[in-house]
Amino acid sequence: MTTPSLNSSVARAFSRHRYSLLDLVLLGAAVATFFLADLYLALATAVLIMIVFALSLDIAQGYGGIETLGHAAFFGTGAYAAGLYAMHVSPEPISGLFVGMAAAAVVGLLSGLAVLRTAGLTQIMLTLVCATLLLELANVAKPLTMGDDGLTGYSVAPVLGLFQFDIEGRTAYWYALAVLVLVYAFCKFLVSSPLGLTAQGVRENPTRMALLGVPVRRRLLTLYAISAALGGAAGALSAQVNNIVGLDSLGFTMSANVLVMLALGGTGRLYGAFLGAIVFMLLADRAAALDPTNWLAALGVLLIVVVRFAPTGLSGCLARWTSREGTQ
Amino acid sequence: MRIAKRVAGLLCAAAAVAAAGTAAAAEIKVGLLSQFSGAYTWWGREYQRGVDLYLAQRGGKFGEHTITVLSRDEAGSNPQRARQLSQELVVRDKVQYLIGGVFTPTVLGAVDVINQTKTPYVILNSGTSSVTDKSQYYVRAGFTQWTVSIPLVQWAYDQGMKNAVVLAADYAPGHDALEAFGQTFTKLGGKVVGEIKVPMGTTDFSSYLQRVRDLKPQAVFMFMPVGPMSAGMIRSFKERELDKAGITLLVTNEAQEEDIAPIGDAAIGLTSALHYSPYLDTPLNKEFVTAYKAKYGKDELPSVASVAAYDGMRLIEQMVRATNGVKDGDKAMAAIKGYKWDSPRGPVSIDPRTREIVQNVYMRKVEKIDGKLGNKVFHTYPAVKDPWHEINK
Amino acid sequence: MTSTLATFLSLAVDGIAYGMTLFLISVGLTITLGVMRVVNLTHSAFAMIGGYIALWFIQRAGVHFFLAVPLAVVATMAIGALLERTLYRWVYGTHGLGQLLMTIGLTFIITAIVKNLAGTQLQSLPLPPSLQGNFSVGPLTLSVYRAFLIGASAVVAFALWLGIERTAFGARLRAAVDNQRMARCVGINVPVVFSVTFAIGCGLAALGGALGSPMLPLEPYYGLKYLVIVLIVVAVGGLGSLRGSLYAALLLGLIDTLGRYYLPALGAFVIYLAVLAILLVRPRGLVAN
Repeated sequence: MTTPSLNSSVARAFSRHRYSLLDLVLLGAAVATFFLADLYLALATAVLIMIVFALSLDIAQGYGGIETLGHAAFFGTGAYAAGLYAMHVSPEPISGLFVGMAAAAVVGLLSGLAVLRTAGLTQIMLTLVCATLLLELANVAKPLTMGDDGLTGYSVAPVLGLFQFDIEGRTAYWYALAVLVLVYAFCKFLVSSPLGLTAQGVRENPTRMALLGVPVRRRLLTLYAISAALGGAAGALSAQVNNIVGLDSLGFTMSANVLVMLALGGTGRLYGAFLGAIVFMLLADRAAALDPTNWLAALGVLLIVVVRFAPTGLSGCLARWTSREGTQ
Repeated sequence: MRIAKRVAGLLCAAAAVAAAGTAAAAEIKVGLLSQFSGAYTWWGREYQRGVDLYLAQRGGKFGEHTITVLSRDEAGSNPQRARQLSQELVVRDKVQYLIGGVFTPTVLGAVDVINQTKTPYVILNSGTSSVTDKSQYYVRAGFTQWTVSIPLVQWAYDQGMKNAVVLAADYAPGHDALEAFGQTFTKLGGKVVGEIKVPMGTTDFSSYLQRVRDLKPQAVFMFMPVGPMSAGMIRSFKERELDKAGITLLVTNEAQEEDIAPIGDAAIGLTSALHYSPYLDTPLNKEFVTAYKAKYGKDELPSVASVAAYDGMRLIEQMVRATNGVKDGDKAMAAIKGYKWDSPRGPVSIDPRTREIVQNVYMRKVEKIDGKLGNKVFHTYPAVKDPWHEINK
Repeated sequence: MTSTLATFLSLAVDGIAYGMTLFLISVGLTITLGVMRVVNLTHSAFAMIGGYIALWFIQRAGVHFFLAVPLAVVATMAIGALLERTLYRWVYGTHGLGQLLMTIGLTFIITAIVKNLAGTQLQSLPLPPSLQGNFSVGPLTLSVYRAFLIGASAVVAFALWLGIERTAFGARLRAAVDNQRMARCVGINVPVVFSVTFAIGCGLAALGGALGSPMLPLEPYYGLKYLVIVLIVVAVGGLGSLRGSLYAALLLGLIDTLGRYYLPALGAFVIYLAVLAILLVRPRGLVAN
């Protein structure tokens, strides 16, 4: 049974970025997952981490129009920074999270200086090159990062000194969920803020924005650095929850996966990150269990179908569906 | 609103079904972690074959306990995923033992899980020696790079090769190999005239082979990840006629039957050191190869991976019998420390101090055997203990 | 001639041979990208398809090497034309991200199909006796195969230049690129021009994949493995520029080969640093359109 007012509130949420019932439902689903799927918490936590990562990419790509095939650079930087911090400085997780974010933001600023001078294919290639350089660096710095054996041998202290990381993954889940909620709230705030709105303007028409007196380069650079910091948060979470950081966190597959997630879900809507990450991670997990050799082909078909029939992604479909019902 | 409700409802239903599916069973479950997708699918197939063959020969039971093997795909060198899989296997599926692992990071991904739940993990690959030190629940049924490298160097030195180049891919196992080759050769009295690191993913080996030629060594000790790098290097080596320049190429697991087939006749004469060859001439191995061919096809051959899986299941059987089917990680590990048995690869035992496997290492040469390229054993180094652990006591 | 000079020259020849292979594989992409503005990430998969088809002709149909390769090129062109008429049509007008994803999806599917058909083993085309072995030029020893590769690529480059600059089709192509609407107005059938161009691009990739397979062995993941280097050549060369991709391929081939010898500590860094430097200095590529 449809309630027109609730439906139109969802439609409004898609168009004007206010908090809505859909946000509550997502939160409810996350809480329900904890109680009903308590044996799947490892997978669920991985999904939450990917949502954070996809949100960070949406900020850069969906809102800033920055095309990137190297977003894993920030995930990996955050992961290694948090892991090394836990190993050498302090196992306290929350400060480790901030360390990861700060390190990733620095990388974002530095690479942004190079990447944002270009556009199109060149920009994509530069992001890829930057990520690859970081990967090579991590590989070469084996005494520090343990190279491709993976960084191990550190452990993380209880969150807020109270909640120990247990083997069932309960603490990890709540911790990741808390971070996700904060990151999401921040993103909502960001996209309606002057920085977010001008970035979207730049995405649509950089010349006009420049003529309006907007310091285009500086805005984009700030946005890119913020996106990097959020990506670093996802990486730091991964390092803390898994107690291991592999070179694959800087790899091309990681960058490609998050891009696919966002494409599936739809860019520029924040919800796309949720839908895309959930669908992709669950499919990957189940498909890998059923037929690992042909999972890749299934993904390829899915991508083509989405591009052909749902170019704005799943969230785009959802937005059209609900706005249509809302206006009935 | 409807859609959101439906989605939430589906999520809840799925979760409920999953939660209900964990009814306790009288059988013992073993979790097999390997690569079943991607470029390393061969490992998944071989592990599964070794495991299945062993179980089939035991009628699916160890004593009165029925054994069920749950196979999971590591999907690349992804330690986070390995951790998730091992956690799910132990906590959700309630496996008593873990077996497998293809890469060092994926083996290490499980370290937290096995330490906290006291689950024994039988490592079948990952040639890095230090892995077994990270948890007392690790036991190795495969081999380490050091174990096969030392005999190779020893043999080369004994043949009169006094100067050598060490060449390896630029990643952790490659660095291990460089250390193993270099240190040992120098200790014996040989001279390492050059150390060459080849970046991962290199396709054109011209520069590196040029450097080898310039250094004029008598031997080249090589370590490459099995795949395009190994095949490319061996082929280029022959094409540039470096062997005619008096340089002998010496390898370890790059000469496996599966991998020299694409290289073709250029691989004939290649000398290697490894702990197994399907052409090993012992009654037990002949039986094993016959059983393997009977089950999987007359053109199929076992490999180090299937032998490791086969022996790994033997270890698990020993642990199941010792604990009487009740999960007790400490008792299980105590039971296999010092355990000796006869494997298709020869007599083997588990070193009680390091939990490493002690085994023979064979010198082999690639020949045409029955029309196919295979490794013929011509010399044996018996009961080699993992040298890295001996050096780093 | 000193031995260091001989070494340098030998490496230079190797670098040029590697660069020429990259050129062959990448030139098709720069043409389709420049002409049709479609980000075709499936391009390296077409190279792989060409290699596998040639292999099939040689191994299963007993066809000689020098006949198998052209046959494979034609077959790949047909496959490419078919895909262009069906799948690629969908993404012509859309955002770059859509093209990226569709072509990546297509690459995944092709990878899975090839894996099921040909297995995961590495393969490469067996060279005919006429291309095997080495020959000497003074103190240098060159492989016949590499010399052939350089020669064949040079011929292809020249033929392409001739085709674009001197033929009627080439003129139509250039018109369609410069001003599509105007080209249509003067009666040029732009969709047909695009289809033919795409097919030619795929054919060139197939040639590169088949001839280059001794150096870059065939395997199901070829399409994903060599995608990055191909994209780099195109980006560094400048989109749509034939000359650019030739210069870029040669430059990168030389830098990579020489870098690995003279600066081994930097290893793979050298080529990525070089690419970073070039793209920073000339963001539109070496020969910007």
